[in-house]
Amino acid sequence: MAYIELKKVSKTYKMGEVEIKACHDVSFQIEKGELVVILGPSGAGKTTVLNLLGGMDTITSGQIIVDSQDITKYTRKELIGYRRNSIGFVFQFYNLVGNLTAIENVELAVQICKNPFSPKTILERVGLKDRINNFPAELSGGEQQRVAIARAIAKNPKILLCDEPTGALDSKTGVKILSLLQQTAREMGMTTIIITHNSLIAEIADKVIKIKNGTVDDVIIQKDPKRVEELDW
Amino acid sequence: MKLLFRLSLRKIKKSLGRFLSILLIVALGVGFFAGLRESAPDILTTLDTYYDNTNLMDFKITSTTGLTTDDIESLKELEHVDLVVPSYSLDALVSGEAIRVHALLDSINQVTLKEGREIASNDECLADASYFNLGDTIHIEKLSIEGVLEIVDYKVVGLVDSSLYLSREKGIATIGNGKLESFIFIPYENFNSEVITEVYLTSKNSKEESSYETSYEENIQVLEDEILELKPIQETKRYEEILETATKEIQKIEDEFQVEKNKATSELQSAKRELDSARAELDTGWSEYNASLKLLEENETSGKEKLENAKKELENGKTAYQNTLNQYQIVEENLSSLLESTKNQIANLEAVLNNLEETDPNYSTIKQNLESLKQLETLYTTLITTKETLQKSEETLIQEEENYNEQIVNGKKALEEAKQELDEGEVSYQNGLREYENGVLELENATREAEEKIEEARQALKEIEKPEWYLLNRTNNNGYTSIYDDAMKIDSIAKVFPVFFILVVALMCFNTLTRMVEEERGEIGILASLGYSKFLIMGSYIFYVFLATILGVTIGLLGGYTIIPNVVYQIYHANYILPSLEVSIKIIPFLLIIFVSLFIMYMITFLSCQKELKNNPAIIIRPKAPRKGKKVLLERVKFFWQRLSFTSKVTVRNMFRYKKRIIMTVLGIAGSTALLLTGFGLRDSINRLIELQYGSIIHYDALFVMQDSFQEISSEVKENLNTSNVSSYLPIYQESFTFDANNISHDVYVMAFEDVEKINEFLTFNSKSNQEFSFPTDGVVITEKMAKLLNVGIGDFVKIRNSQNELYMLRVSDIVENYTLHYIYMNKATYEKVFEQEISYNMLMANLEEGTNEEELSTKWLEEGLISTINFTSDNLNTFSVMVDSLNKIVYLIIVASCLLAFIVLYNLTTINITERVREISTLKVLGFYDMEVSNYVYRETFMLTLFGLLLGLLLGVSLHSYVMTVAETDNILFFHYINWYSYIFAGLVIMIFGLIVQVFTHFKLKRIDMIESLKSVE
Repeated sequence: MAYIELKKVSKTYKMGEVEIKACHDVSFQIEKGELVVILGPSGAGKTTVLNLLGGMDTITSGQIIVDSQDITKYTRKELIGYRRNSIGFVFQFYNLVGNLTAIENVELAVQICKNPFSPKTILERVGLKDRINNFPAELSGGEQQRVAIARAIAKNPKILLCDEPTGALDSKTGVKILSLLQQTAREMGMTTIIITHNSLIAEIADKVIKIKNGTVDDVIIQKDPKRVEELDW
Repeated sequence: MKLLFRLSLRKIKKSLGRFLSILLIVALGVGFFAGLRESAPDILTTLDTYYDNTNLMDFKITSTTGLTTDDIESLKELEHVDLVVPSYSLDALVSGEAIRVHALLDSINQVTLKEGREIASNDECLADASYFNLGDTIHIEKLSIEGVLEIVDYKVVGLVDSSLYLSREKGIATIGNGKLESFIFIPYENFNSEVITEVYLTSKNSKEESSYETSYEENIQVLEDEILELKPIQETKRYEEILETATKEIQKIEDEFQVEKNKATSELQSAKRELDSARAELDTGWSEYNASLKLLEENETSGKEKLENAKKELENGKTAYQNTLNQYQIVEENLSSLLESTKNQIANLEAVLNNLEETDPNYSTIKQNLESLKQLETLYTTLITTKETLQKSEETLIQEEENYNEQIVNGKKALEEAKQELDEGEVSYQNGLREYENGVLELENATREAEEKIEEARQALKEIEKPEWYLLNRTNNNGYTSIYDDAMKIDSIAKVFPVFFILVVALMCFNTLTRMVEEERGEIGILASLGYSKFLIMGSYIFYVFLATILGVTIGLLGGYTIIPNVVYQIYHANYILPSLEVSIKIIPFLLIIFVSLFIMYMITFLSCQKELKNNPAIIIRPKAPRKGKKVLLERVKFFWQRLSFTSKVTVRNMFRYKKRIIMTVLGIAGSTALLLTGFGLRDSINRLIELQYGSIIHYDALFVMQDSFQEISSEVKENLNTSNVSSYLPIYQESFTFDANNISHDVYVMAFEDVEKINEFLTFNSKSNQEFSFPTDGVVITEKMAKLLNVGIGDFVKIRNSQNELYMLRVSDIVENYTLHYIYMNKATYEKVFEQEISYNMLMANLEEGTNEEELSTKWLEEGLISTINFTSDNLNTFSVMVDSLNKIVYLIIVASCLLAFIVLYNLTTINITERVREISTLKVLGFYDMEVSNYVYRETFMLTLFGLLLGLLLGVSLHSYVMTVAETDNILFFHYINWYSYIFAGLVIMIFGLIVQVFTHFKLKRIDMIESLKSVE
């Protein structure tokens, strides 16, 4: 059985009278340790799928199995626990707490986890050894995203979810971030899912799930994914 | 323009919550401000209308001797007088309680009929609605002046309120236990009194002036001066009148007595004369009797003698006769026969002889024989005669003896009768004499008594005190002044408290608006980039704010004007009987408040917008750079910082991130806490004041106000004291004087006593000069507040005046702790030196045994007629407890206000805090913070700030409390600035509870935050 399995997952938002189907009958499987890219244009429903998988939103119908657990049956509290211990999030806009230094932002996540890594080690690992005591406003976009990644992986999560991690960065920095993500996923064997509309990035994935109009369009398994450095920007 | 207008409306629609919050904050602030400010004026206006509608008197005159029609006429002639209404009132006992019976008047002091109907017959009455029920029957058991009312049974046909009785405490009665419980009104005609007991007056145009205002006082002062001018004239007139009547009365009594005396005297005199003549008669009788007695006795003796002699003679005759018989040996019985025989012999011999011559020898013999015979014959004859004579004599003697005896018996009998008569005469004479003597004695006694009485009457005449008029005005009505004082207290508190509200409200609005402008930065930027002027952009906000403000102010004013004065008024209902409140909405203050509020809000809006609008559109349109994180000063203190947990560090850092918010929270909470503490503290201080004044300073149980002043306690009083559960007592002299401080006259009680040691059983003196107190032998002791008012110290002099306005200078020897009223204490020697007269005590200070029934004691003493009244310390305590009760309600009002304030501040700040940090909160959620952890993370800083505010508020509260106490302090009260330790805890707890309530709100608000939505885009 696959590590992560989505079975006919649908999500409908009600905006007053209007029902919007954000995704519809989405099904796919992800194995443990895989680096997966979910690819699709804006508004295709990628983020919805990620949110559902990350326990940030509840599905309308279907099933999501993570590590043999049906998270759709989780209570609110169990969902929070799931987010807390199993999921690491990286956002497009970093979402760092402005009033906390880099290390403090990592500590913020770590202090509530079961088996976290040392924040300092992780920050060193993402290459911010000299910046750990700086506030987000004092860091560049790339550095901020590194902090965000450090915050996500320091939790030692089962799954690392990244929503357009390079979306707000210039391409050079974006490469570095992607490289960091790929490297981390490989080295730590962390199941990593990256959402992007950039098909180029898809090349680094073990598996590419294409989403279109709220449903899975195609699933491509790449036996030999490219390294980030090999990408042609 | 039109578009901006529509934009404003849409803003309201979009952020209705915010709009409403501004509206409510403004409403609340303005409502409290205006409501509290208007409370006192509204109450005073209501009272003034009440007084005007019921034609409440301006003055009342009573007199020690009652008033006459002449007094009334003279009063009517005064220039500034409007109404002069004579009336009556009496104190009566009904079911053992004292009530006052008034004459019902049409023109003045009208009553307000609450229930029932008017009086239709003269055995009906209108009665105090707070005490009686409709249909009650009232039986008057006793009257303060007997005989004035013929009808003593009344039926309650109407229940009324009277503006004469505002306070539920009705005052002092001259009957029963001295406490006036209630009142009734009966028909004027029912009073049957020679003199008028009271006159009510109103001053011309006094109704036009508002009571309690200086203009009213000025108005009635004119009439008062006139009355005071008339007063001595009428008093003298009345005095002379009384004197004249009394003198005439005495004269009449004297004359009548004289007539009676004369009559009695002449009667006695004639009785005496009769007695004298009776005496004389008796005396004559006695002497006659005695003479007769003597004569009788003499006669008796002489008679007896004569009889004895006669008897002796007879015996002698008899003896001689017997002897003769014996001599001749004659037997008496033969005598006659012998005589016969002899005679015969003689005859024979004679015959013989005749025949014989003388010469016959025989002759001679015969003749001799014959001669012998003849001798015999004579003898015999003599004997017979003698015998007869003797017999006769004896008979006579017997007769005589009988006669004599009879005579003697008769004489004795007559004398006996005469004596009896005399004796009887003597007895009746003696009786008469006794009667007479009694009569004389009686007359003497009667004369003496009458003379004494007349003398007494004369003496009394000399002692008749000059009648005195008592001029009373409304301030003597129970409650008239105290309700004003109470209203003023509210007013002085009202001056302080709303300031906090306004300040906090302004800050809250500023904060909310700044946030709003920040949020809509993008929109502002677009408008600016499209070329709208700053003025127009700001206009949309100003429109938004003004609409909220105008609505808020209107709601606030309408609510505040109606609710708060009514709440305050309701509080007063506990102590006063009042008409319903007239809420007046005064248009000028109303507009003024709106104008000022709009101005403040304009400034706030201007400042909030200016912050953004001063930048050029290009900058405005770009999202605002996130606020820079900053290390706080505290982090430099490594030792401390390292010891903090991660969350504490975050809390500290966040706390100092938004300085404006710190100020707001701390200030708001501090304000609320300070208000709360002040509220609690007010109550504590009053309680403490009572405790100190009536626990440790004044600890006597009762003050007996004696009917007569004295130098030595009379035996009657002593006896009563011994049987009255009085454990100890001390005679004191106490009188009311005045002193002037800052151009205001204050009352002060002068108290003098002989035993300066024993006074410690009743009063405790704590010297303010920090030395051990010992009662000064020279100079006086004055109380703290008086010293403060006069700004005098030990060794200085104080000036006081008595009721005759005579001035006395007293040297201050010590100043003692005291909280209510002013006192001057001195020993007897000082008293006599200062007042140049021997001390005459008028009161007894007493301690009672535990469990003494005060009412019974009071009744007993009043019945004995020894006291005018007894003031029980417990009564003073009760008065204060009522005051504390009403204060408690004000405290509740303050608590509600402060809690609302605390709630608004906390809620508003937390709300802003959340909206501002929604991304951060969402991040936490994504990171897997549990709901409680998120709440704690966000709320902990608010909570810490609340704690800071709370501590600051407690500090501030002490000062605010002190300030309010000083403002609320009246001239005869020295407030003890005291806050109980648990009041600090209470105040703290209340704020903490509100903090927690807000936390609960926050918790649910946080729970509802949608992390996906918030994380979607950059702000």
